[in-house]
Amino acid sequence: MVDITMNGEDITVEDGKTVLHAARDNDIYIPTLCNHSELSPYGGCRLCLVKIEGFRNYVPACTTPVSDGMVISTSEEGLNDLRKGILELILSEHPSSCIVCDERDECLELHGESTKAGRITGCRFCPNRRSCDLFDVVEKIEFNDFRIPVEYKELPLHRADPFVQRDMSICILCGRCVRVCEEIRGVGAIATVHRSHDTTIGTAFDQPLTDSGCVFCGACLDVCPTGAISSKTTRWAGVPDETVTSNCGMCSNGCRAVMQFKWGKFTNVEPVQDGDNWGQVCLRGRFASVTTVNSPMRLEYPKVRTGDIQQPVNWEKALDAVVEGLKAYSPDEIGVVASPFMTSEDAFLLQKVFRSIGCENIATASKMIGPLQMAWRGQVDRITSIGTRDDIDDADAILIVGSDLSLDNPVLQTRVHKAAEKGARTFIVTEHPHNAYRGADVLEEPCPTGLMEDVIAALDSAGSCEGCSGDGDHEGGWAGTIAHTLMAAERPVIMLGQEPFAVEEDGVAVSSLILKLFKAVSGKALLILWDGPNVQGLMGSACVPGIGLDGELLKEAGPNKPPLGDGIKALLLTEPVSDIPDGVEFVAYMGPYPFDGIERADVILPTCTYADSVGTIVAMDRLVGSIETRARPPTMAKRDFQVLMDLGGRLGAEGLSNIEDPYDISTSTFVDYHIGKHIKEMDVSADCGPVDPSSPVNPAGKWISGPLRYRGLDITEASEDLGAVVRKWGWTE
Amino acid sequence: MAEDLKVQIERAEEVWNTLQAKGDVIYLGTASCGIAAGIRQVSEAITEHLSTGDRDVELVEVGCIGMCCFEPMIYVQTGAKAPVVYGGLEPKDIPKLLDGVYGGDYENDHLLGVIGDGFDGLQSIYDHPMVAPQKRIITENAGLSDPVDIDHYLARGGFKGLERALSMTPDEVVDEVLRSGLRGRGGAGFPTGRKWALCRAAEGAPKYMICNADEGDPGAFMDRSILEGDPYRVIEGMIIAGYAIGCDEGIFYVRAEYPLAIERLEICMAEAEKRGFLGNNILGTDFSHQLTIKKGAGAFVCGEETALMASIEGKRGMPRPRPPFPAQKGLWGKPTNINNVKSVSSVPSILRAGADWYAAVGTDSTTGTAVFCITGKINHTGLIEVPMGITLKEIVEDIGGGVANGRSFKAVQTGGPSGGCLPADKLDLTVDFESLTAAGAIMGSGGMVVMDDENCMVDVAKFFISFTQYESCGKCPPCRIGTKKMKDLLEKITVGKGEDGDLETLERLASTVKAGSLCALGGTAPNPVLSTIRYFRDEYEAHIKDKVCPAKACRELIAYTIDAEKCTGCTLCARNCPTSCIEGETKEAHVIDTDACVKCGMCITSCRFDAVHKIDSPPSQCADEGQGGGD
Amino acid sequence: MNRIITLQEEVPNVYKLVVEAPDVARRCKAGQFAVVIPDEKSERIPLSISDWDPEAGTVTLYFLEVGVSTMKLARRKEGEEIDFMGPLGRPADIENYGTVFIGGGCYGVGAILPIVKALKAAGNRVVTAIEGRSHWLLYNKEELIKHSDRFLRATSDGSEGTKGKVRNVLDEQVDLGEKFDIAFFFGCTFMMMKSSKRAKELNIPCRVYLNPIMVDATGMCGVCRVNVDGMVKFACVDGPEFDGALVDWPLLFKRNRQYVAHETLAFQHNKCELHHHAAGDDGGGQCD
Repeated sequence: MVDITMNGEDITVEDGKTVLHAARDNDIYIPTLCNHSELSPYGGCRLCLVKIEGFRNYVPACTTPVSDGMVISTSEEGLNDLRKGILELILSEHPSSCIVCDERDECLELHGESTKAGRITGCRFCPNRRSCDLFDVVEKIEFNDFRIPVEYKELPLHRADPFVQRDMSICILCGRCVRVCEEIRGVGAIATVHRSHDTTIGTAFDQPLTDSGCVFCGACLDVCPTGAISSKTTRWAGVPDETVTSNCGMCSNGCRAVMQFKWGKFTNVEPVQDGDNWGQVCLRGRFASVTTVNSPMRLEYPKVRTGDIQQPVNWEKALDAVVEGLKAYSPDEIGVVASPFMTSEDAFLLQKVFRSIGCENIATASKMIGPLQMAWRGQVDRITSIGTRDDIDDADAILIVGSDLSLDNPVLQTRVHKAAEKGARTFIVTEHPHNAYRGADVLEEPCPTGLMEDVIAALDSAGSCEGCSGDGDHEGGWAGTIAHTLMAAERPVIMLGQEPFAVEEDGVAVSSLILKLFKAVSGKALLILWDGPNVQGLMGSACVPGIGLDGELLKEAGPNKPPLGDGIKALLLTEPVSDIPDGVEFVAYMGPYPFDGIERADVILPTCTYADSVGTIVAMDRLVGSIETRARPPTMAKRDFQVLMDLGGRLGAEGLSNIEDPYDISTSTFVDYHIGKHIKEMDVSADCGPVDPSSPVNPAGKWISGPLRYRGLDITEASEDLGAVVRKWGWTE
Repeated sequence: MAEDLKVQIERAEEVWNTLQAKGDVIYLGTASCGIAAGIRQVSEAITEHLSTGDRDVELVEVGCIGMCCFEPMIYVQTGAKAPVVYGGLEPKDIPKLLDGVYGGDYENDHLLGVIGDGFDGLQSIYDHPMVAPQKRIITENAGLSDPVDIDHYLARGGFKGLERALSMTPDEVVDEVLRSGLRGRGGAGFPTGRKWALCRAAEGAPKYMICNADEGDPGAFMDRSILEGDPYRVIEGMIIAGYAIGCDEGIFYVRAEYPLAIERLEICMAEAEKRGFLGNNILGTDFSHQLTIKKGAGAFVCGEETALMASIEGKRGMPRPRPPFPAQKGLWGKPTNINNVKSVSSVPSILRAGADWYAAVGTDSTTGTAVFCITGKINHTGLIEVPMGITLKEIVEDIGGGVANGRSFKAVQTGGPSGGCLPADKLDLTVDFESLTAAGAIMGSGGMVVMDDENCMVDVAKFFISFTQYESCGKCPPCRIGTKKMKDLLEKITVGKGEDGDLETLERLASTVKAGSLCALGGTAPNPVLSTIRYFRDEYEAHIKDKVCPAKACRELIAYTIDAEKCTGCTLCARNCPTSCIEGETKEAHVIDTDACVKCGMCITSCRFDAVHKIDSPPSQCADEGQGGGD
Repeated sequence: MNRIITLQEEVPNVYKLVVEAPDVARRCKAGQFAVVIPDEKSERIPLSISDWDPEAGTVTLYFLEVGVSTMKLARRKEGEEIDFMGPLGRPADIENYGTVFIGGGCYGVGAILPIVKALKAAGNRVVTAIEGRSHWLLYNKEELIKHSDRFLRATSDGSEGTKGKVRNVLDEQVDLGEKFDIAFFFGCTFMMMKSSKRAKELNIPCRVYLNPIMVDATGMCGVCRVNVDGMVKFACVDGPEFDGALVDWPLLFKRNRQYVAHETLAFQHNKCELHHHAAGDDGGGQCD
């Protein structure tokens, strides 16, 4: 510890902390603009200058480490004038009518929200006017008058890029965006460019963001103090009516995020600083989500088919039509498809309603579960990941197969970059290697089965190669190198993405090779990047054949027919499928979006997305997250929970009386479903004995899940910007 | 004495002496300035002239001894006597001069002096008024030996300093430099010995030694002249510093605009390595040292140490706040020591002749010598090395030979864009760090510009602030925005749009930029403005209140007229005027149409009868649209 | 459809649009406006007409970018065609009142030009004043100087002319002894409200040009109804010029705020209808 005196007060501070930390810990106010708790000190804006005895001139508090016996004064006479002088310089090039105009508040109150201008030229045109760091400093320092000429930098307005708009004329060059992009996300898509008065933030040679490596994570938006970098689609919502901390439901990473709601609509997403996603979100969770949830394509009215017209009706008629439709068939002829985008409670309720009327043909729309069951049963006690996302941090070797983390689980990319920077050798085997990160070897492999076989083969020689640190390139090409590196590593992490599961056989082959490899190199963590946000949750909600309530692989499972197999005459879909078998006579579809082939549905029940429902989901590393909302579903849409309760009542399902809201289900049913905790991981050492090969597994095929889908909707249709990014990255469905 | 070093020195002295004793040699001053002044054409004329005779004359290219106003220069050595220096030559003068000299008649109007003691009534060059008051330590070899010939360097005492240093412990070497009182010549004047001690004491390896040869100041060319004239000296200094601090890698950060300096450095580094002074096991000891060159990309800010290191690391050259100081966390986060070329070049002499010998030169607060580039309105422009403590008057009047073409002295600017302007009554100031800083200027890297009554001080301030404004890296608002606001204000004043209150705003801005800026560029950028306001406030007020430029330099505030009596009607001015706005019949007094006149000054330079003069002419006050409007 | 001749950003966020519309140019009068539709999925945007040239058959308008439709308009390219309909609205009452004060703010700086010209032609002594948040937001100055007897300016930050608004200029001129027979104010609702209140205090009659939300702008839909002197008036056919002292300003503000939610969410689904970006284009997404 170090003792210093600040403003005459004696303080003890931890060694290595800066003067700013010391001041903040003892709530002494020092103005800052370029400083940010998560970023390296920059010392650029010069507002945090303080007087320290022994130093000739003022010294920035944010970069100066404390040392014993320092005597610091943070608000001397000369200092306040200097800070006002510096602030005057910054504001002289920033549209500052919000400071000089005395009728600001009355005008804003009468006009209501900001005018949605192209260039921000003053307070009424500014989306940030109620949440601007610059204005907080102005008020704290009591700056109010200009005595030097003001000007507008009139730099070009960049808004041709997807999602992100850059209006550098109001930028104060605090450098936070450049640092977060470089230090946290490891992308470095933007930098300080040009010099002297023309210095601004931009890309090399002013190329579009799509060419400069930007992954559109929006981290720069979060740290920008003035709104120079803003989101084209959500910047005008202004201060939300309500905010709630919830989990994102777009991919299996289940990031914690602050959801903002206004006018009963979902308007914006901001990351949670101390969540499990390291204060980061991604282009799907932050940008595409809002546009998708509020998309005009949302289903709004229940419909019942009369002839070949799907007639909008009220809920009574629609639900009665479903009951009538199903009653015409024996329970064994009914098939139920559960959507991996539903919350665990809704999925549990779905299977409970149908099992109570004797229908067992229930399955989950995920391409990955079936093949993993076939590959792993008999060797493991349950189908889950091992270890958690935090194991990536101190991994010394990482192998990612079947994904390049650009569109599924993008936030993991920050951790992989950090580990690679610390020396972990990283291999990425993917079909879409557009997004090579620094320090990772990226191999383009449409079908990795062959490569995985070679890696397993190379394992035996890898073991015998003493003293090899694995970082050189070994004989046997990439396979040899991967084998050697993983063998040499103490804490290797393996991640399995969804690409190989496009074809069932490949899925099975790669899954078993990955498990074999994991055991051979005694890996630290094996993370399954599911092809849906709540696949793990649905496995625990008895919506997957052959898997019990707490996710355990059953040796003998009850009778079960694949819902889209032969013999099925009636279908209840909560997730669109590529094609509905001809034998099916009655189709009821329950979901928020239409899909091509929806004309075959006899009844359509409009329900909700994650952003307007309540419940829990389980992320890829078994982390349980809660979902809350303040949004009203559009027009007549209802939450899946309410629809299923109503339908259950009409179908005479028992055991629903003691359920009022989703949490009644989760507290009673899911034993270790504690939010924020990880449910039990699989045990590779369990002796599970032979399994009857005929016992049912989750059927593969006909599912259309994938990183560009949300409950069947191709989200690039809802968000044109995401379409532009995806086209640029060479993704095709 | 490492065995083979003694052998090398003997062989070197042999080479040097045979050259001295040679019958006929002509030395050519070929630093960049010599080449620019036309030494190549002169040497062609020499070879062509010699081909007609049968004399066997060896031509030897040497560096520059700093007498720029006399370039191009040659030194003629005949009959094994000391070489005689001739300056201000043109190819057409060569035949007459050589025939005269080889005929025994050394006298002609190009004669400057003899290198060494005078003979046959010829005066020694060291008694020349420009050279006499100088004390040449760093520049002792410059211009006298072939810069890339290691034997010349060895023969004149080269590498003895290194050899002595290697015989001492690193701490003893640091102490020697500390006792010599040497202070950083980059501009700040921080004691070099202490800097080395701090870096030596810092933990962390490897450590780095950097020679800052960015020299971005406009009008400063001493580092170039040393690098081009005596590269071995700088190399020796770097190796000694590396040994003292304990780092085995040294980096020359040379601006890309000095190609000749870089070329000669590369040759000398290769030669030094071949001769065992560089690379592994230097002079048989277990000390090894590698030297590499990193070219600067032309940003003045990269002369600042943290920006320089960022530039070497391949990043954008932007400074970062200190502490942590480079000695603790510098290049690649490792302890790093950075010294200017002149500081590094002083080290070999300190080690060779001892700390006390060096401390005896200059004043006790600022020991040793200062290298200045004296330029501007002065007769003897050039590079000089003078003992600290000399007065400005001696530099301007004695060495500089007084103000050019008889005009009156007005001010001298020292320290380039970070320096200040000192008026006539400050001429008796002694040259050392403290007194210059007290007067509002700084020692800086050593640029010294003399100004006469035709220089407008507001314009000078505008020039320097425009330079620092353009060179600002843009990281911190005081420098990025403050210097621009100051430049705009000065521009407004020099075009006659100044209002009262502008001077106070200028001073307020200057204090914000000076106190708020992150690095020395912004921290010292206001100095030229503040010092000109301090000493020439009346000139500023004249521009603002009366819209008049006392020095008649600001174009918007003057007009050109022709004095009818003096004008003989020779029509020369009319014919040279680019906008042909001068009318008049031949033999009749001519008249300038002031509206069309663009004030280029061609008429003044072409008039042989001193009939054209500049007069004050405040710009017409166009009615501010606000009041008059459409009336 | 009418061809765009010029479309350029005069000052930050204010665009000058010159459209080829010979029939409109022939019949324009001061105070009238036109409806512009950038593409099929945009709103019908009412914009005041700033100038017209019957010989060349062109009409000039200044508009601010304030939402998705005006953004689409601002990003159109010269030479392309847009829907253009006008002139609409009742022309301004132009008489020889004596000495008139005309104040313009934001888009009003462009819109007051025809009124200044008309009043000057009618023999009035015309004092024009324009306001903006800062000196870099004032435009169209040369034209206004040409047709005004006196031309004054005001900026919120005092960087040019009077520090403050047009109504502060009005105060100054009245203190200097100017006698105004009538005042005209053209700008955002807040500016017109405050200026009318000030004119009323100085008992100078005043006219304002209201900017309610409009749909068909020909008197059918009633969206643009405003309350003037207790009576419901349609701004598109009875206005846009009204007596500033009699306007129910709070109602106008409330009506203009009705569709804030839709205007905001519209940015999420704004698709570039015009330059349909085929798959695999340079990924630029929306046009610049």
